[in-house]
Amino acid sequence: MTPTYYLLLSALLFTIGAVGVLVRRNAIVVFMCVELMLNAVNLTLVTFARINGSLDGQVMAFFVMVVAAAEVVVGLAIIMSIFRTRRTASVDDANLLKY
Amino acid sequence: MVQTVDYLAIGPPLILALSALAALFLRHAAFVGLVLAGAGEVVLLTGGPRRTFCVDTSCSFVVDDFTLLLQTVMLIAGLVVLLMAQGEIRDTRLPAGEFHFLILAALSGAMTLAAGRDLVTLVVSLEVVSLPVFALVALRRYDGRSSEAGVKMFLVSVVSTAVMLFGISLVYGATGSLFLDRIGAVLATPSPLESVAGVGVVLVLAGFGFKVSAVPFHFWAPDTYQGSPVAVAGFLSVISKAAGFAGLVLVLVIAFEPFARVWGPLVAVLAAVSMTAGNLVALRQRTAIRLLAWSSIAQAGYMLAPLGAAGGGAPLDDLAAATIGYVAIYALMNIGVFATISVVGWIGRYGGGELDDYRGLARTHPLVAVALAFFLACLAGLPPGLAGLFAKIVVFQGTILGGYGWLAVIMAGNTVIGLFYYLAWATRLFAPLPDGVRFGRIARPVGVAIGIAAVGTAVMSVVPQLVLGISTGG
Repeated sequence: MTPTYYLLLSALLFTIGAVGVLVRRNAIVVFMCVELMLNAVNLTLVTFARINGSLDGQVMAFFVMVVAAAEVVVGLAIIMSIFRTRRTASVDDANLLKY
Repeated sequence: MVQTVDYLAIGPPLILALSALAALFLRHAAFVGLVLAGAGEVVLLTGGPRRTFCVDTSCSFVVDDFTLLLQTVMLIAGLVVLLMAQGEIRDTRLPAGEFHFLILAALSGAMTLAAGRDLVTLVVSLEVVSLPVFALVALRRYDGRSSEAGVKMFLVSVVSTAVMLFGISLVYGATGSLFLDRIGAVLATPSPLESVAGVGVVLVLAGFGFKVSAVPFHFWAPDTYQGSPVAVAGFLSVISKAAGFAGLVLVLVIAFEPFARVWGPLVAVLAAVSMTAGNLVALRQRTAIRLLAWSSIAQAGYMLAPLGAAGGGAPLDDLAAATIGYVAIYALMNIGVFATISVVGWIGRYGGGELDDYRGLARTHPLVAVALAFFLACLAGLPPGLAGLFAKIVVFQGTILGGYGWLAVIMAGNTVIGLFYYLAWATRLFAPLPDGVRFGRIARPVGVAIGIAAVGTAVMSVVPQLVLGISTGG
């Protein structure tokens, strides 16, 4: 097994996620792209744990999963509440607050 | 291997977490929890440093002077936030139990963060600070502005967490450890993975940049402050920011010390841009809460400045002490301003009101007006606000010590700009009362909150050495 491929894959996933966050307009899709970035982080951590021969990285990956799950719970609730008042989940339409 | 846990060391955050649960059901549990945690803090203050959750010589949870200073300031600020929220909870029909629960949960995360000494603890406690705050910001469900503020903060914050985690994974790959002190030791020796670690350091710095709302990562701050309840804006501007700075200082000074040449100049640029942009935009603000949002961005710039001078080879401990001293004093004076505007805000149309609404406050509420003027003088760094003046002096000293004269010059220019808008607000307080304007009675809890912040800031004006000169201590 060559760890390099896994690192390349995770870098690719992270980039796809980051680009998605920047170009997509639907809050839910933006949020899914963030999840993609977090999964890229997990892949990197596990790969490095393998390379370094220590378990720390794998443990950290579990914590990242928990953090991601907690973010989903709070995030979807907030997106729901904005959808209820505005009937849209587009981040471009969130324009009540300026100046 | 059996781990022994030092329950006294983890006591204050643990008590807060438990009382957060109790606050869902019992009315005064939140205040009881804060008092108990404060008592634990006093016990810890009288003893020496404590360490727990250790593997060999590296510990995940350390209670030293640095931790105690930040925890104490956060506890005081948390008490002020809870007190000032009481009026708002009643007037805008916020759910009281949930509000107390979320504030205490976030506070316990902030206090854990100040004690964390490995990357997992830092990340998890940073999330424990952030997640309840998202819910707090969006708590006024019937108000479109509130959910919008929540969604803006949420998206920015989760992206910054993801970026920071990617940086952490790279640092872990390059060093093979998650303990801050071990990372520092490994990075000090030359290795072929140096460039990987360098990228990781920059990504972690960017992630924390969002948390402390430094320019260019500040876009969420003004909108979120405006859309959320005033007490929550105060929490964001003081406790959340102090937590961000605690994490930033720990990571930069302990783990990334050998890379000071890489992150020092970056932090210096962040500091210069933050203070300049924050102050210039604050000049144009007409509502109190947005002015405070931009001023807190500018203040983040002042706090970053000593760390920015790290590339010059000055001892990092002194620079970190300057930053942390400023954070502690800023926390007390800024929470005071928020407590005051949470009273006056109700005469305006939304939280905080417009600056012109503050005309004549001194005629009917002289004490509150004098307190607000005192806090504003502190933020401007002008006597009689000696606390702010001392903090500014320490920050200037640190910056010049690091050999960053240009940054000190930019800071001096910004202090003058800041003087203008803080004083313009303070003079309005003493203007004659416009016809037909009445200020309502001040609820007792809010009065107590203003009093606590005023006493804290006054103490800092007399004995600033209590908080200045305290560093991470290795």
